[in-house]
Amino acid sequence: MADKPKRITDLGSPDYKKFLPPAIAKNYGKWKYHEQLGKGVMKHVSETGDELYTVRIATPRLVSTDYIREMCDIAEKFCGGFLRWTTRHNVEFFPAKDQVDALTADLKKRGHLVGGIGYGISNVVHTQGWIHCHTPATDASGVVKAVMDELHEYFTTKSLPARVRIALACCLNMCGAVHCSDIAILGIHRLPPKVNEATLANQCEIPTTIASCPTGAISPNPATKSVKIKAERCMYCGNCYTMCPSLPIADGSGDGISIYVGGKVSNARGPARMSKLVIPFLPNNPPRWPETVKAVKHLVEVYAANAKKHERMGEWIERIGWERFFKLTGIPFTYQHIDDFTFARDTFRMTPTFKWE
Amino acid sequence: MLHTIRIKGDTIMDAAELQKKVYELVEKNMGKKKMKAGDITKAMEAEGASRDEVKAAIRELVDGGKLVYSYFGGSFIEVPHVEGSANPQQ
Amino acid sequence: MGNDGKTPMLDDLEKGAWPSFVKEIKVAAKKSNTAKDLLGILERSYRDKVTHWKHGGIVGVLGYGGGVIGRYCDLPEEFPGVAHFHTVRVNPPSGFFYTSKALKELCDIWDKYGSGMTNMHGSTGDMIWLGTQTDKLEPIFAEITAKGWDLGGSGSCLRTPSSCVGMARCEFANIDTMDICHTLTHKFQDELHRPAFPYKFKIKVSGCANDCTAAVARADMSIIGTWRDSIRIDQAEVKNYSSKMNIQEEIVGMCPTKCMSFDGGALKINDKDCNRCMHCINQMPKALRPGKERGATIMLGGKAPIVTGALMSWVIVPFMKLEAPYDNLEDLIRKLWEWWDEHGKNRERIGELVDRMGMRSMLESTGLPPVPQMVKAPRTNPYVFWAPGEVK
Ligand code: HEM
Ligand code: HEM
Ligand code: SF4
Ligand code: SF4
Ligand code: SF4
Ligand code: SF4
Repeated sequence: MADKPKRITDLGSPDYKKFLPPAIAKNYGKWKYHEQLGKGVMKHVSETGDELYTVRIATPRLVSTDYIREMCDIAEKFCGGFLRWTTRHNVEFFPAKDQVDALTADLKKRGHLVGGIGYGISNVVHTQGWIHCHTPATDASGVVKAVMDELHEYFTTKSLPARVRIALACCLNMCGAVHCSDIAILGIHRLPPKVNEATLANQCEIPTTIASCPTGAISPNPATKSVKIKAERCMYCGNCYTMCPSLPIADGSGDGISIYVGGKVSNARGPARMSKLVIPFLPNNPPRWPETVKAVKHLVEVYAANAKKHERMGEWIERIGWERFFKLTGIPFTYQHIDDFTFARDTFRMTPTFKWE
Repeated sequence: MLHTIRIKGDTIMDAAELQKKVYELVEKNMGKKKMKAGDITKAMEAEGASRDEVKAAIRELVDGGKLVYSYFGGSFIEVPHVEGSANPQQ
Repeated sequence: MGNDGKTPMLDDLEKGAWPSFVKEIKVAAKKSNTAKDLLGILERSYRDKVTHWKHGGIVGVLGYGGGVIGRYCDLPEEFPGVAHFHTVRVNPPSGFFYTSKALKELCDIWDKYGSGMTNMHGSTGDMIWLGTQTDKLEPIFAEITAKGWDLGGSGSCLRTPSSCVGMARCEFANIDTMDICHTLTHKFQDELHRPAFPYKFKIKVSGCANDCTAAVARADMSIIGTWRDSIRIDQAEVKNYSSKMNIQEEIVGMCPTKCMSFDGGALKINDKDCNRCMHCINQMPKALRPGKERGATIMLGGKAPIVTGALMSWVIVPFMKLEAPYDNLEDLIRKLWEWWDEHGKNRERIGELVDRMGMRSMLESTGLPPVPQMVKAPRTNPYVFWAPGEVK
């Protein structure tokens, strides 16, 4: 090993202090309050009296290096080359006060959407889908694009009673941890993996494949030097496919989308909570997923028409009751809505007090 | 690097020997059981090595390319090989 | 059907107001065959309604167990440019602030070795570079480390910690989230790169109960800023707000603990009853500010559904002062890991282990005292276990 050149390892994250715009470095920890100046502009004021302006735009998350270079060029032109990405895949610039309008105009001219601040819909947190992952039950970027093409005005101009956070995960591994969103779009498989007996013995280690299943659904099939899957035990996690490429889980007609609503992570007015299933299945219908787009839009509109100011989707539903929610939205209630997994009992109604409509 | 001498009963184990044992354990289990760092540590602790020594042995082996980390829903330590997915004959 | 280079379905997604990822892939495809074949294979997925990727488990850089996700496509003859399509995770700076110079350097490296496509950022917070081949991994690693960057975590290890923007640009921050994130990332480099845990472990740091990193939902350890004393009130500013909003209805009426009152002049808060939910402060940032005795609530166990169902983190330390170099926090995290290493099964997240073994085992081994802040309510069932020494 002595003959190899010394590799550099364990550097960790670069020092964030190198990347802070001067106004932020100077006022770090001293911010006093902020004001929203529009859907895409806010002003922070420091105890020192300094002001910081932020302009925010949406990105598609999946971007080319040229896109990043364009962002850099804009930052160089308007704010000393400093810029920031947000946790929801937006980009923020920090122009001086007299540059805010010029920057905003420039961004709009280039076709970018300025917005995402305050009560409306910010960017959609999402996962990989057919772009890169091996277990997705739907695409991610395409569904998000189709949904937001329909709802983009809630990013740029229109307001809602409160924030509506939309997130998408393409399988129940939920890389985006979507389960605490106002509207969660979740890809689901409905069929267990298919066993490709012809290739399995060659491609896979049988003992480790069996061990990979979290629910113990896989057993050896000595007759074919392959494995069997007990369908009723499978919960479609795709972990066996991770281990063994001869167990593909994707299925064109079995796979699709489910929709959960009413979750949030903020604790304002009440604790963070998980999203709940409202639409068990919608088909994959690329490239525009019209059923999903229509469903999400409908949910946003019914919420907008009925919720009180500051009420998140889940708070609104809790106030009116789930029974009224299904009535108002016209979504049919089915067997799938009633939990039958580990925490099922917590979700049953243990009182005869409820509403009819 | 760590070059401790371990004595357990009347066996003497130096760092190189511990590495050899770790390697053999992984090799023996290839194709049967995927070994995690924790499995290796527990097995070697039973042979008298300490947690930190096993960690150092694994690091030497992996840094030297004799063993590699793998990821199949969880992380494992394996002898380098060509994996099924990389095989274009599917 | 061969790879005819036509992508009618994806082309449709170039239309519309929302920024288009298809446009982005097409831009990259001008320079890279990998990106070109990505477009082709994605169109095929749109037609077939299934993915065309297979998992690759043993690709990576020498010595690390994470930072690279291996991918191969199942149609390599038709789409040779994506026969190998591995992802590289690059550890970003805390808070995702960048300079154009640093980003452009990274773009140049990625254009040289990969598809030119990225995710800014992945859900854990890494910068994600999509699509390269096994033999490019070491050169990429050498070039990014030469510029001061490193890979992030993947696998059964500490994943790249992340934080909200905190004190850099948020007046609500009760702790220095970005510095905590940065410091922990550096303290735990070995745990991040060399997977030795039963499963993954995520740390996210939010400066207040708004929890902008969604720590409670997606981190095994959720560090959430809070304060212990009283909300600071500027009554003059309250007055200004009262001309813009209905304070009685929107603030007082929506306070979950009913601890506020407003008589048209002064706003009063009974701070002993306030649970620091942030609602009133969010609505009137000019008038209300968190108190001065600041720290964090430490919560444990959040995770996505696999295997036993999704969990949200729960309180294990109601209040911890967090000041650099955060040794108290490091100490707690190491103790938790030790307990988890000792008892955790393969693929058992720490929250699931608490579920299986009980809070007591975890509390005893970390030395944390039981306190009422840990529960919504004490137990209702009478199956109470007593340790041998406790019955005299
Ligand atoms: C235990 C359940 C989980 C499993 C089995 C799992 C598995 C995976 C797999 C296979 C990928 C590769 C996707 C690709 O091809 O790039 C991936 C990506 C990723 N996962 Fe997970 N994941 C899980 C939960 C999570 C959670 C809860 C988070 C976030 C807090 C997360 C964050 C990520 C990130 C950041 C990526 C990179 C791609 C992206 O952001 O979409 N994962 N995960
Ligand atoms: C009014 C004061 C607030 C400020 C200054 C603020 C600031 C921020 C910032 C800077 C971000 C990251 C930027 C982004 O993701 O686009 C963010 C994200 C977020 N904020 Fe806030 N926030 C505020 C209030 C709230 C409130 C009241 C809620 C919830 C009701 C909330 C929930 C969130 C969530 C869920 C995220 C995104 C986390 C994710 O990536 O999933 N914030 N906020
Ligand atoms: S959510 Fe599932 S399918 Fe989507 S990227 Fe994560 S593991 Fe892959
Ligand atoms: S998909 Fe998951 S649950 Fe189903 S057989 Fe495979 S590993 Fe088991
Ligand atoms: S979590 Fe709190 S401190 Fe952090 S950015 Fe959000 S509002 Fe600000
Ligand atoms: S922080 Fe929440 S609980 Fe406390 S006074 Fe404000 S609204 Fe009420």
